[in-house]
Amino acid sequence: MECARARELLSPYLDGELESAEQVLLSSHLRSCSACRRELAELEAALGILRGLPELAPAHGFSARLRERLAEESNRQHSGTGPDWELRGRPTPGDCGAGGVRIWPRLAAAAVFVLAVGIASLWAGLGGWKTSPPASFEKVSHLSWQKDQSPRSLPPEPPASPELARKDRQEAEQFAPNQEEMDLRLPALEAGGAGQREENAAAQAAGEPPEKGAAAGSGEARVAEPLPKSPESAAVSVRDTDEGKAALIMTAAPPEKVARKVKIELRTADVEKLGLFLSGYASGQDRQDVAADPDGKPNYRKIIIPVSRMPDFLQEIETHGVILKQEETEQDLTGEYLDLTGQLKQLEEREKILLAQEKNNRGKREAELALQQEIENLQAEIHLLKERLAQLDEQASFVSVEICWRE
Amino acid sequence: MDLSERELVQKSKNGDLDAFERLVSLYEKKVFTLVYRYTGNWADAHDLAQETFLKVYQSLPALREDGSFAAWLGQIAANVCRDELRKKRKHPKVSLDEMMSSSGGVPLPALSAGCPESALEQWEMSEAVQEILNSLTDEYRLILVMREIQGMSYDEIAAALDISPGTVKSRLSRARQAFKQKVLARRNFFNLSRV
Repeated sequence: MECARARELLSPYLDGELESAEQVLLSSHLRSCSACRRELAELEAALGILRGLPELAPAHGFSARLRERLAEESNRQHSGTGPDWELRGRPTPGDCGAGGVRIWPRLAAAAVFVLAVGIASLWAGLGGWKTSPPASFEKVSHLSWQKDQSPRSLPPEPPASPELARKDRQEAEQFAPNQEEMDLRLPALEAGGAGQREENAAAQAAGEPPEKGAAAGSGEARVAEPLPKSPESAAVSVRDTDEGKAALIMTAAPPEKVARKVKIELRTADVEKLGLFLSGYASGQDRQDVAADPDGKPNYRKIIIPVSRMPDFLQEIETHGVILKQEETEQDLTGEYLDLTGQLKQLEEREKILLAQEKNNRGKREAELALQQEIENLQAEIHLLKERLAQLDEQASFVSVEICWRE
Repeated sequence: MDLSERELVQKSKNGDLDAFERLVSLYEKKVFTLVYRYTGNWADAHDLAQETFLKVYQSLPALREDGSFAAWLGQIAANVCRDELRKKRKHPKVSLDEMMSSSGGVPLPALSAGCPESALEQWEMSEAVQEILNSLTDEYRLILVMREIQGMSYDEIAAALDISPGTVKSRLSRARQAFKQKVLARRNFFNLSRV
């Protein structure tokens, strides 16, 4: 196993999430490679710091304020006033109650806004949470959080359900004729529902893929914009062919980034000519790989061919014999590719901001050094992402073809 | 007499506010810690922790008898934070100066009479790690907190983030690598010089 591959597997190795074969290979590699052992030790040490972070206590006043809000909430529930969507919005210190919002939506929204801004300003002026009494610390018990955990039986969080989100939107549209009011009163909906759809629509207008997380908050968004296939999803098509008829099974509308493997069984009259032909189709000496057949068959070759040359290759190989079996496997890399592209964009935007900050802080030694360190780390992360994207690009640009033949 | 957590949940479901407040007192530190690690902002963490408990109270009838309250609570906290992070991405309000002060102004911890140096060290360590978490992308921070602090399994993370377990594996691996690199860049501070 190569070190690069071994390092990719260290994380799932720590979690016991590797397939048994990979586990064995990696363990064997670790026994013989001190550099990878060191990588593993560093990773464990870094994660140990994260896992050992102290538990934090909220500032004084947190419980009292929550108690007040719960009492208001309980009164609303028992009095039966106020629709669900009001209860799910984040209450503010200026919350004027269910009836007010229902009857005078614009006025109520404006009042909430003015009060919230006023109180926030006053709070900020006083120092807000920053001047609250200090927090206390306790060691986090990782296990205690997990105790009695039965994840598969968890009920869905009700506010995120499409029905409720739809109901929220209907009520919001009925009582809040403009977007500003909705933004004020329906933060949860704005974040996971309608607002997310707008974000997706804007992203699509700019030629970007929809954000995957959007589906969790809005059933309609999920239906309207199907998510890309998961990167691990693979489709295998096998077809036995009649003599002389090759059958290439291709996806009608291939997704953006797909890694393909083709296995061909061939009966040929001229082995030497076939060998020469295959060598000519390999995209270069470094990309050609001749290996023993895993099933012990005598005549086997594996070549890597650019996608653009596949049609010619398939046409021509028919002239070298009869195709007995052809099997194509696809691995959809689109999901991972889109995911990484999004992350890269975010990092590059942050890099721009930091570079601008660095420029503004020239001469301020401490700030400049801190920024340089941050930029360096960010660039390292960008580099890693770009490397992986390039790897995916390459995987999608070539087809791995395995050929077995007999005379 | 102390009531068990299950009894408290049952009473809360029936509208007993005192019982729910006792549940809050059991979990407020955990929830607060979690949302602070997710958001990296002290003021936001208070706000979001409150929002989490309100949502939990409103949604209690949906909790199944055999469901784990702790895991369900953690899931709601994670959803509340994800919504907030999405909203912030859409309407970023943080100024460039604020980005430099990543912690959002965390007060000093209570210094116990016994060992003030130790509490201060813990606080410094905690804030240094939080700075590193804040410097990661939202995706990396979310998945790291879910796995390392919340202790979620790969399948749970996949369900929560609506991604495949394979993507969880690769994203978590990259997030850990990014975190590790930043920790190692400050290896002396974290006493990792011998690793």
